[in-house]
Amino acid sequence: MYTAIISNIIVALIILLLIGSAIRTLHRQSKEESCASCGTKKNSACKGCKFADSCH
Amino acid sequence: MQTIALIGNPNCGKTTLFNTLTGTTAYVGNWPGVTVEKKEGLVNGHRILDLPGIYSLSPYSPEEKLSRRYILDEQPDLIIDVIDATNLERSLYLTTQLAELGRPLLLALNMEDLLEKEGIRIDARRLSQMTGCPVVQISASKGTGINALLEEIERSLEQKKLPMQPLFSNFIERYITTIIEDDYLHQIPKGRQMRWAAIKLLEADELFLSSMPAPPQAFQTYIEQARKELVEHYDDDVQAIIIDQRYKVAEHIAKDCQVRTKKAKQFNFDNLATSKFGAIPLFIAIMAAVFYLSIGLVGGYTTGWLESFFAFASVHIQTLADAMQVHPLLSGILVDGIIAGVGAVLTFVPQLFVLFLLLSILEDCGYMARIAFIMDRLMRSMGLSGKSIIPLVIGTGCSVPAIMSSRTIEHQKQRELTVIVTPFIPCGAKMPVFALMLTYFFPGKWFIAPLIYLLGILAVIITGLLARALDKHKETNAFILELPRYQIPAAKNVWLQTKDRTLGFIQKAGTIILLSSVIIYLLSSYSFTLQAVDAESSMLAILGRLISPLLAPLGFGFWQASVALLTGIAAKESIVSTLSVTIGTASLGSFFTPDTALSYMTFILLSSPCIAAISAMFKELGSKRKLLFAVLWQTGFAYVAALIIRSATLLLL
Amino acid sequence: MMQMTMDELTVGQKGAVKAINAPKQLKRRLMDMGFTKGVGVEVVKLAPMGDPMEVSLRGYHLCLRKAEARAIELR
Ligand SMILES: Nc1nc2c(ncn2[C@@H]2O[C@H](COP(=O)(O)OP(=O)(O)OP(=O)(O)O)[C@@H](O)[C@H]2O)c(=O)[nH]1
Ligand SMILES: [Mg+2]
Repeated sequence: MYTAIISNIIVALIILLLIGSAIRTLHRQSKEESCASCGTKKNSACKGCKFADSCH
Repeated sequence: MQTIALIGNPNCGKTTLFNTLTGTTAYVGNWPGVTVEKKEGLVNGHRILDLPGIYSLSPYSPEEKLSRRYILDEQPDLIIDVIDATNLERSLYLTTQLAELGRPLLLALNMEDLLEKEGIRIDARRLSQMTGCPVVQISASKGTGINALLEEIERSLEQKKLPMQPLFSNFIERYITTIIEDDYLHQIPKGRQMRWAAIKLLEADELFLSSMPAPPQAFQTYIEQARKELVEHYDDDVQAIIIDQRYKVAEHIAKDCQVRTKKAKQFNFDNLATSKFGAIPLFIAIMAAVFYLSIGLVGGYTTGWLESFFAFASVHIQTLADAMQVHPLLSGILVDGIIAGVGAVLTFVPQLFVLFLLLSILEDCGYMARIAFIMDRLMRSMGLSGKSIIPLVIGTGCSVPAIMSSRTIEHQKQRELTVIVTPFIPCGAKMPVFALMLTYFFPGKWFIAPLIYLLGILAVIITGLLARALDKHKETNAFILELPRYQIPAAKNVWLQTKDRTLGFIQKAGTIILLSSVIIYLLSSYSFTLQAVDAESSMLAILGRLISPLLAPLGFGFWQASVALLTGIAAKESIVSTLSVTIGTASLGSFFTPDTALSYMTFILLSSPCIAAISAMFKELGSKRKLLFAVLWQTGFAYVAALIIRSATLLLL
Repeated sequence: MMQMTMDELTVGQKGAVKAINAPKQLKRRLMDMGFTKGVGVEVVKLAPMGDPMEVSLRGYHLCLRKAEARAIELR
């Protein structure tokens, strides 16, 4: 009984951890000054692109 | 915080130096025009900037404009002029322009390690005397002289000593002196040098003139008189005279500071690489070898191993979870969602590692510029430029840097066309789908893989020919490209680039793919009323069926295929992970047949790329309308091509 | 004497630049790359289809099309 509860919690935690770290990495990447982060939205451009006027 | 800018000719090693100084992994390659963006870093608490290479302060392509704008408008506290020491004379031409900007200048003589082999000796002390700048000999890739450079940077930032101005012939200097003495010159923008302004006035530089108030009549007459006398004296236009004078200065300094002994002629690879009959076959053979080694040879072993590893892991985790009475929802997310999805993508890491490794060797050895050289004639007949081939080769790794590298193409139409066709070349992320389909439906038919690449190239050619036929002006433009020396690729560069790209791929598996697998799993297990249901009546199936009728003529009108294509927009690897979550890679055969597999691959190959590449396209095209056109063209092309391929295979089989 | 332009050189032939007859932009571009009066050039190689050509000047190698080479007058 207890083992079932504990193992459920463990699996849930593992999944949450994986998802959490994935989201965090994506978030960090999008803020980084790399050009992969330049979206099509206004002001999402990295500094380099803003500078080159190549994002709009 | 003070700002340091790295300026120099293309391919002189600025980025290599930047990486050495800041410990980063910016993109390095052995052809002119690798860096197309400004990149910032930190060194000893100062901001340091890596900029695209330029030959002079009058720019010709968008990335060169960026450098010019930066140096003129942002006023860095120190300019490090990186000089390829084996190419002193031409590098000094840029130096004569930089010296007039009124910023402290430091000369970094790079590629010191090559001097001996090239039979060149440079007297750094003399060079420093003649230019009035500190001079440091370094090797950015070997790491020598870096400490001396760091010391010199600190000293220059502190002393703020300005370089000496290059002096032209007396005939011109007379006019310059008179102009400088005029009151009008006091109105020049802050931070500009009088001498610089005087030269710009003589040259009638439009940009500069428009930034100044109209000169008084008398002064205007004097300038015009001066221009006329110069033209008469030298029998050339003023801009040309100034360039000529600058090169005279550069020649003079180079002659005084360097000794060149003739080096012995040796056999070189170039005789083969650009030979009349061998060049193009060799290029094809090299590309074929790259794919054979990575996809065929390495992939043949490792994919199988890794697949069985992940299968083994998921079976055991599932049994363990069942035994521990873990809720099927949780174990499902973990095993059928995450492990199935991410695992399906990770099985391709080894082959992509080899692909990236080979590509970065190709990029660093000096062959890229030669490909542009030998292919220019062919590319031109398709409305492209020789330089378009560089994005197409880089595109076999990833479309994003490939699309960005098209920025060095000066001609706008050719540049935009290159951007539109680059995604036709299958990138590394599309490889997993092809490998999956090919091993399942066409085992042992090795010739289909190269055919896929050929199809991508065919799409490039057809688009190019069409664009050329539709273009009314048929204007041609200059194709001027420096051919760098061949070199054994620097192990450090190759390793850094390969590692960076491979880690990027793994990271994508751990982020985008992981998230999309979980979402796909959940959507395919529940109905809109949140009941656990059979996949066929799940949310995902219902959503997928909204678009699958559109794809039915192509033979894959079932929702799993449509959904996989949709997730492919986030990242092309998702197609494999989605298929493996919704169908399971083992039962592909109950959904696809060989002909629909072929048409599916064709559609994936040619239809619009992933979101990262789309936004890179947007950046280079610079307009929503053009982007929309590009994406519609790619997807429409893919649709028609898939239709044709399917009908053809149905007829043949 | 007949005018000679750079595209007429065969592989291995040398020449010295006399003038550049091109529109302003291209002229400046060529001069920026080092084609100034009097500088020595040598044709190193032709691409497989005869165009573009590889020339060496000022100690480095450059490739350009025959159309551009035609703008460079030699003596
Ligand atoms: N032998 C030698 N090669 C070097 C050195 N520094 C750089 N290189 C090579 O020169 C090539 C060009 O280096 P990059 O750093 O990409 O040059 P860049 O100045 O940033 O070029 P662009 O971005 O195109 O303007 C690469 O192949 C480097 O491996 C050096 O000190 N010695
Ligand atoms: Mg660079």
